[in-house]
Amino acid sequence: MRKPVLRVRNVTKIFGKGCRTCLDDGSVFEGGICPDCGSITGCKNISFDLFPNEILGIVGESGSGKSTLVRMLYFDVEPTKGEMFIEFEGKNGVSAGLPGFTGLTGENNIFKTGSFIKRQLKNFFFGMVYQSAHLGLNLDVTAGGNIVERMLMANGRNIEKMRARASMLLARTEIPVERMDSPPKNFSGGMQQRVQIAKAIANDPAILFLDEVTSGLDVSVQAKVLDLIRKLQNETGVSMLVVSHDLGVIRLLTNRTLVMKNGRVVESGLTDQILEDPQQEYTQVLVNSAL
Amino acid sequence: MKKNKRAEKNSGQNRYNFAFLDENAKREIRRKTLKAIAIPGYQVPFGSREMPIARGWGTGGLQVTLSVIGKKDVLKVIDQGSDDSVNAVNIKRFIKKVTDVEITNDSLRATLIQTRHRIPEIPLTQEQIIIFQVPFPEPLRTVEPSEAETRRMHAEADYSRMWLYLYEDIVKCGEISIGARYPVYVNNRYIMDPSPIPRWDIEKLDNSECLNLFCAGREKRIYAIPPHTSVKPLEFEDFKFRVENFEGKKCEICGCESSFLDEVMDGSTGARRYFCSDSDYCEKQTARKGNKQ
Repeated sequence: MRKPVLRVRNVTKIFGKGCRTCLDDGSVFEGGICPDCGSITGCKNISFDLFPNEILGIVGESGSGKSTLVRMLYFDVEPTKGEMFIEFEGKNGVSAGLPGFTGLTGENNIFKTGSFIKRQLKNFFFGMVYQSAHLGLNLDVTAGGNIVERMLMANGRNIEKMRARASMLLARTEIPVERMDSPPKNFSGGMQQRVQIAKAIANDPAILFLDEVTSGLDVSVQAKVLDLIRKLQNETGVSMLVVSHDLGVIRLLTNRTLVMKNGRVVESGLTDQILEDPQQEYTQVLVNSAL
Repeated sequence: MKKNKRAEKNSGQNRYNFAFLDENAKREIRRKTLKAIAIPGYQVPFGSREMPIARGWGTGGLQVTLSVIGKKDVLKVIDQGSDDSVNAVNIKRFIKKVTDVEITNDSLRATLIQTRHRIPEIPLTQEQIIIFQVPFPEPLRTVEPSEAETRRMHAEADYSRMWLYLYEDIVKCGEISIGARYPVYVNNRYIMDPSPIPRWDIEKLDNSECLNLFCAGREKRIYAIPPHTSVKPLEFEDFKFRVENFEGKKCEICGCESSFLDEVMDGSTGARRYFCSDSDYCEKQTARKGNKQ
């Protein structure tokens, strides 16, 4: 069996001071608010593996902790406790000649390393597509510049080569290359989202995080963006973590799914199985409420 | 006799501690300077003192100069290359008053050189310290207004936005439009603001023999480039750093073609005239020519 690229163990995020009640792994509160200290539970005790070439879905209602989870894995939010391990196949392990990576192996808890290493991991191995384009893009900088920025992060220093790659990525995400040097604030929502995807894959990441990428787009544009994501996954074999509240998106993209509620994983398994034969009460409600 | 005594009592050296600053202040600034030398290019915060000149007029450079100066030092102060402009003259007069050290215009004789925005044309030696007055110590300020954020960026060597700024400049203008204050990599780690020296002077910082100290009084930061440290301007593989081009122009006084020139517009004719920016260098060149003739 192949080794997972990403292993996540017992990740918990409490917003607020936290107390014995809410830090207890077994406790569940409605709405996530701790009755004793008033802290809010973002995620509680989440563990999963992400395998090479796999698309893993995370589904759940709003406020169930999906985005918090992804943001912790992308180091935007610091977890209260938990562990994260990374192992890249075919990239000679993590220590691919980067500063600060000496001695870092698949056995090191990434959350416990310094911010310099996290930054390097983000720059070289991760990609992120946020729900709204303004989180992932600098809307005042040209579209080409936004994509080139990712390459600059990974020490790209050749303008000619970077521009060539940026225009190739724009073409691949079906954005007219002539608009490369205009800022994304002049673009439509769907186009902005596709620029964001182009930016996220600019460094050939090993893991791509997609946080509600299609929310707020109309159906035909949604279909285009989903199509693009599927195509990219086929071509590059990147592992993806797809977060969505939309079961349609999950059904279309993912092989395996986690269902989250109140910050916990209530059910996990093959996507088809979960959608056809949900076991947990919440999942049944979720599947049945899909239009 | 009596009169002389009073005059002596009222002279600067007796009314103030040697070099104006109290010993504790000097010690703090020296300590911060040592830290800055130990981490080339890193900005060390320090407690900037009130000085008898306004902040923004060289108080940073002045404090470092006063904290490292000794009685045997020979001091030179330059302002945009000139030994005789107001800023330089005032600072020289003040330091003379509170230390009584020897003042010189000669870049070779000086042991301490305080400068505003130029480096002397003559290469400095390991016996010398050059102290830069810095208005804006943070090179990332152009791309990020928050101090907390720029500190994080330095800590993580997260410099992509600075590079992006240069990229956008090239895409929009076909050229990097930064003239003075061109950002440099120090020791392949920190991006540093070299103070508003022209691009021309950036090369002199690389692997220099002398110790370079930088201090911003208003922004309360000290940083340093120790001798023999690599200093590289930010550049792309296919878009190299260039210095100012004075091809076909020469100084009207000394005829020099290989120094940094000031451009002066003639008020009546509107003609452009060129002079050496480094006045000491210009005088030496003129003197040498005089000797030959």
